[in-house]
Amino acid sequence: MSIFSRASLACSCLVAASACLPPQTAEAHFGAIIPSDNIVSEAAQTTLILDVEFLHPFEQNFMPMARPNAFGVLHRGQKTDLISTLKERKIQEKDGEVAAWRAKYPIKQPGDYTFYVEPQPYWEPAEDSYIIHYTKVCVQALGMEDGWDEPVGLKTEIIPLTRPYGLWSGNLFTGRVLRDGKPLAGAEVEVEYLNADAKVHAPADAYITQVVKTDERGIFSYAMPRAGWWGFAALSEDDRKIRHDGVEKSVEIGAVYWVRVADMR
Amino acid sequence: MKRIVRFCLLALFVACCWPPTAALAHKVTIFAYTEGDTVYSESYFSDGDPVLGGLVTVADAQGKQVLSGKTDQDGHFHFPMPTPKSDLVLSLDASMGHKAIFTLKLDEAAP
Repeated sequence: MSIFSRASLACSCLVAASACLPPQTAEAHFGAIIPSDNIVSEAAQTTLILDVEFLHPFEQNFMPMARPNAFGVLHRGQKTDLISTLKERKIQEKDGEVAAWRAKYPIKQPGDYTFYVEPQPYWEPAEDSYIIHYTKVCVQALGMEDGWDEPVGLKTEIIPLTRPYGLWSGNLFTGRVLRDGKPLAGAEVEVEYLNADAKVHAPADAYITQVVKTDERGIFSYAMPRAGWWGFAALSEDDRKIRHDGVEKSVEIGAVYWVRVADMR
Repeated sequence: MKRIVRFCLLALFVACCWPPTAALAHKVTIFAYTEGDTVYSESYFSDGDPVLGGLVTVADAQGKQVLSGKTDQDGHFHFPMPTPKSDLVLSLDASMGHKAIFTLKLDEAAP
């Protein structure tokens, strides 16, 4: 084989490989807990369906999620372990099925319910790093708006400074990022829209993931322009390493919070 | 004079039709459930603060008043399930126009 044809073969291989590579940089990973409703106003006997998953929310690509390490709810100062209520379900992806999780939870009492999940570390070869997203969502029941700003006590978490339900599109959502219970300054917060019916088209990749940073008090804000679910992921690197094939790898930890927005009309 | 009467009637009509779910800054809510043969109720403001000394009136499915009582310092008021058992309507009067209603249906009474 001549040098020329060898070079052109290498070239075409490169082109083929790069064409097959997913656009990694454009997508942000998000842990998610999406409840079937986030404001329960009918008395008792409402059973929520909670979808627990790991995905690119805007592009609607799902990553496989192993059974979480922890899943529970904080209600009026009391934490309840719900890990045994999680049922595995399969989501069809381009290259096969991936695992996600679903739980049912009956609402029987008034107050704010903060659901939280701590997933197992997810290995992301494209980032040469593990990812753990500590994720929360708040469901309000029966008019008792009490508890939404209580910390769960996760490794890292977002404490809402805006009441996280009953939000109109255009509202500003403000939160404080805690890590080991202390405000996390200068952290990047990635923001994505759950593009459930893939209705929204991004004119360029930069529109997919919005980025804001926390100030010296760990506080960030973002005004949501559209009705639907919005995810906020405040990222930092864990102090610990996890071994992958015998090599120590860094661990990205995310404090993730989801809010639902409605149009004013 | 006629015009004033008409305006008053209109105002009354609007006030009566105003949905009770309209969010007020100091909205009160009453919530009730049963455990065994006891009915437990909890009355609270939207920020979770208890309603103190609020009057709770309990009526049966026919609208007949069966009992009443006042909320304690935790906003709680409980009473034995009246006989014969029926759906109950609990009305809270927390003074200064703070009112709320909760319908306790028998088939969903057990927590």
